[in-house]
Amino acid sequence: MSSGVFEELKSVLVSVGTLLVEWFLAALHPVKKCRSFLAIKSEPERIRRALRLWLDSFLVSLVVYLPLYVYYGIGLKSLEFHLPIFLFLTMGMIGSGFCLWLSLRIYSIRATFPDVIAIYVAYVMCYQPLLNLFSYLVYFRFFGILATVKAQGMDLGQAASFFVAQSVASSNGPDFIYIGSRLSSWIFLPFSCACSALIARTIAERYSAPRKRSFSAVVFATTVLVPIVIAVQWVPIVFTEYVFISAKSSAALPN
Amino acid sequence: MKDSTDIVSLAVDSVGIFVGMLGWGFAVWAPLILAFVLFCMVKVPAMTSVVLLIIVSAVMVPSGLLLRWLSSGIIERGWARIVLSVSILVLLGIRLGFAYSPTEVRGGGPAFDRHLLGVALFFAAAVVALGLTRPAECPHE
Repeated sequence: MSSGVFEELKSVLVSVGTLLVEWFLAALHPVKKCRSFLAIKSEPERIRRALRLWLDSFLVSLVVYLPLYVYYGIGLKSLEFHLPIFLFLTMGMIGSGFCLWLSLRIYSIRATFPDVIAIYVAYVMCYQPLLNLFSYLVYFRFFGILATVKAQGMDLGQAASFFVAQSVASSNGPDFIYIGSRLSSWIFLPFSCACSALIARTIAERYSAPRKRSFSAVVFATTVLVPIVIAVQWVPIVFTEYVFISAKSSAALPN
Repeated sequence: MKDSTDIVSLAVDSVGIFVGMLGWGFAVWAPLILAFVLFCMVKVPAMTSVVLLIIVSAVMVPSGLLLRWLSSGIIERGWARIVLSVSILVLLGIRLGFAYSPTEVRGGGPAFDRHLLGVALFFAAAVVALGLTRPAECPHE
């Protein structure tokens, strides 16, 4: 029986290892990966390859968050949870890609939508596992607050007040989680700016557009349009997490 | 895609993006967030709130436009705008990160956040200064 368990474990580890290597190679050489996407002649195939990379990235993110999910009562086999989350994140990615495409059009750069999606996946969505790793402490606290909200049966207004009160309390008495989350978000900032710069450079080169115009379009998209999409995307995601989170874990909330 | 592999050039471009983001944040989001906060505080638009919003917007929007202009200068590696950007980022770093804050004394934002912001702005200023050593490499201009 134990050899059966080891065989199962081995097959899972091999699958996860293969996935991790594929993702790691893409994340290590984003420019090369983006070039390989853009070299594909067929547009549907370009989108398909980009979405495949996004799927790999999502699965690695899932592995990263698995201890947190399990701690709050959401198992790996909870497809009712993971599928909607994947769908909402994918819709958010397409929405963000659309914002970028729209912004490029506003700045008179005639980029095609499949190109924009491929570039966005290669430079931004590919790094979702790293983003998750950096926001681990933020999510730990967020899940704790969400579990408390569920345990106490608060309505939307009470929940919002509770979120604000918890944020103020944690900033007034900074603890390890507060300081760690702030540090990680500041460390992540230059990384996200570099990703945006790579997007702007690639677009300037592919469409022979002036650098200034390409950078302005990317900055406009990432600062003005994309935050709206992310805010809208977060509503169903938070609701799904609220539905599936275990209220019994609320005791883990620091402060 | 020759210049994509130059780390220093990419870092300068990234700070250009950061300054541009700050510019849009000042010009668009800061007035909107202030309007929202004022609306939540008073519910009915009072004359004082409207005047406060107009005064803050009158400072924020031109500052945002200035930052966006500086961001373009960093991207194009214009030396005058790079020097001006470095000066402004250092001043902002001192003012927002390390100068006396009356709100903090009254129990407002924590010092830790402000210091991190100050360090980030100083770091950005140092990277922008490196832009003087790297010309913008783009065959299309």
